[in-house]
Amino acid sequence: MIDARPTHFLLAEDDPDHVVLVKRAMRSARIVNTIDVVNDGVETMEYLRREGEFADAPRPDVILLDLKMPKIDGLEVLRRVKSDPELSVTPVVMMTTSDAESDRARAYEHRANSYLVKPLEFDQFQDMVRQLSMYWTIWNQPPPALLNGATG
Amino acid sequence: MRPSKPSYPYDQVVRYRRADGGVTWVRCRGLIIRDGSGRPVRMLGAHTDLTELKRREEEAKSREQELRHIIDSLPAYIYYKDGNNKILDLNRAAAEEIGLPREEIVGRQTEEFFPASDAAAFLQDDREVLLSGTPKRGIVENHERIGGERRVIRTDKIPFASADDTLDRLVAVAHDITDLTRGERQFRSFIDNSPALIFAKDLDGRMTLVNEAFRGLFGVPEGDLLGKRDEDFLPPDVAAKKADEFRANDRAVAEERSSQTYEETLRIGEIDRVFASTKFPLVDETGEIYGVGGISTDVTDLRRMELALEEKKRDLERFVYTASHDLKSPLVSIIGFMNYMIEDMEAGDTSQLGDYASRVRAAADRMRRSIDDLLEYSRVGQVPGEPQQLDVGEVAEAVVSELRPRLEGTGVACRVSTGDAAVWLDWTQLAQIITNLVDNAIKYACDGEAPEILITAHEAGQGMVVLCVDDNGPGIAPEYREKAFGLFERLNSGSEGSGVGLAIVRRLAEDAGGRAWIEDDRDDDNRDAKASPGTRVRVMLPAAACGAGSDSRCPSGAEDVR
Repeated sequence: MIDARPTHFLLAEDDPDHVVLVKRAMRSARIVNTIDVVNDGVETMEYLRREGEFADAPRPDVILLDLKMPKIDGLEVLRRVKSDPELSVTPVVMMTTSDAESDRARAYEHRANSYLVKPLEFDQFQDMVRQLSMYWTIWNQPPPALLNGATG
Repeated sequence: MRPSKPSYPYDQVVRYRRADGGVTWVRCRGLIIRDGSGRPVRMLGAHTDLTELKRREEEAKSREQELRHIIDSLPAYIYYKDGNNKILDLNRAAAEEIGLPREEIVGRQTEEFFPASDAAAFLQDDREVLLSGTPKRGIVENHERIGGERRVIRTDKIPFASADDTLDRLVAVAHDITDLTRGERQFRSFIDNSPALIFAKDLDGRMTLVNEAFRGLFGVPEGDLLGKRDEDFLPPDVAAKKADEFRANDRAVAEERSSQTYEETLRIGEIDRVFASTKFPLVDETGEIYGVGGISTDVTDLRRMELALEEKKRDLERFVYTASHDLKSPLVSIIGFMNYMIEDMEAGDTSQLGDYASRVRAAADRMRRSIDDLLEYSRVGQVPGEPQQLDVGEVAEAVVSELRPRLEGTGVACRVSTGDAAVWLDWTQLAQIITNLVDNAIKYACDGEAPEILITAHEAGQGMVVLCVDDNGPGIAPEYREKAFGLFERLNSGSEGSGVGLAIVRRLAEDAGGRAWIEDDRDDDNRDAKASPGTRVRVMLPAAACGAGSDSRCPSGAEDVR
């Protein structure tokens, strides 16, 4: 069964240009989904824990997490998400310009669900974002807890 | 008539072979008796059995030969002397040492074979022994051989009574211990010149040997260490923590009968020193273990260097990582936006073109800055500075006037109050440190009201000066303070610049033997009352050799900044 409910992404990305690029690539993929943006690690945690200005934030279906962010970096956010029983089931996709082996190793050690390197090649970048959004929106079946949490 | 003194015209010793095969010695004498006119009248003959006498004589002779042989085969030099330095007899070794046949020495004076001063010394010892009547042992003397070679001799002198029971003779038994003492001294030279601590302990853990390095480390003479256990000479707090551990290591070595290397840490003064201690069992001739030997090499600096190297490796990794990230990110933007611009233009949509174009330009600018920063950072330390005595205030004033336009543009006030603090540094490097700090402070302070930067400096003891740059901006939360020194760390995404500034400050400080950090907030009850804690950056730098003490102190709280 394909669940065609729009997927809600949380994009944690400090580079405003990249935000624009990801959003536009997602739009051009013509897949119905929603996206919220946070600019650093602290904001990401506030959003996920619905603190302060994010009190009404929806629970994201997928977190797209930049590795290198100010204040709290992506790895630390990942660690906190995965050690928080309420957040740990949420799939986290690392999105970074770093293809350093050590980063990849650490990301998976901290139980990242996926690790993507932003391609420098424009077509590949577009293609990656399109497939990413298609995969998480159409093909991937979310954990029941998340489904309930998101709808309830 | 008195018979004349008998004369034996016939007197000879005759050997008979007896029927049992043995030999009998007989002295046969014949005596002729004559009358008054001298005519032989009778003849008297006597046979005496000499066999027993002959046997005893031969036995004595062979015993003497045996004794002689024994004495001659001893390696020790044995002299038999009277109380006036006359050599009555000596053994073969002694004769060989003198270098003449025995017969040519016996009966002559010691001083004929030894230098006068040596002979006089011997005589003094001889007389002392004869006077006291007790042996004197272990006299160590330097002998000069014929030819001038010096030998070390250890002599025992034993008084001897001659036939009429007066003590007027003595036996001197001498050993050449030149090689022994040389070996011993050589051993001491080796261990005392070793930078490692060398020691031996008995099975009770008592020191039986310590070298110079060991004595030096604890600052106590050898006598105060020998016979002591670890806990007797280690500082009490160290002993409480470590004596058991060391003892356990010693025991393990003795029990395992094999050498082991342990890492043993010892706090000496203020520093934890790390030793790689190789401990091994000491085994006697029968294979019994009688103690534990140890060689401890101080590896503190090595460990520190290893850690520093690790740190440098991590730095390099971070550098490469940050560099690639900071160069790739704007590239992703440039390529992305250029493509969308083309896409939009082809579709006749010009609504976003302006926005995208300026994003491309900004990204390209960012990339250029990153490259500049990278080059700048990589240049730090490449050109060795020319350290000189620098007045901190003078350099700070120069930097501030250079930055005047920026300060005025952002409305940030800047005050220099460094007293007469002076550092030992390259002018350009100090200027760069201050520039980066002020630059940084402007970024953080300009958000607040009446932003102000205060530059101070003070002597910090141990030949260091601490340079302080304080602002009254919103401050940096404790958990981000260390991060601020990383490469390209931006603490809020909005702030401009790549953030290489503090990283360069730290690197320059560390290269000069100092360090850089952000000071903790003062524990201050009034802190909540203040609008902002400010950022308080500290840079420790080597003081100028003749830098006078400074009255200027860093402000201890943010209220001083205002």
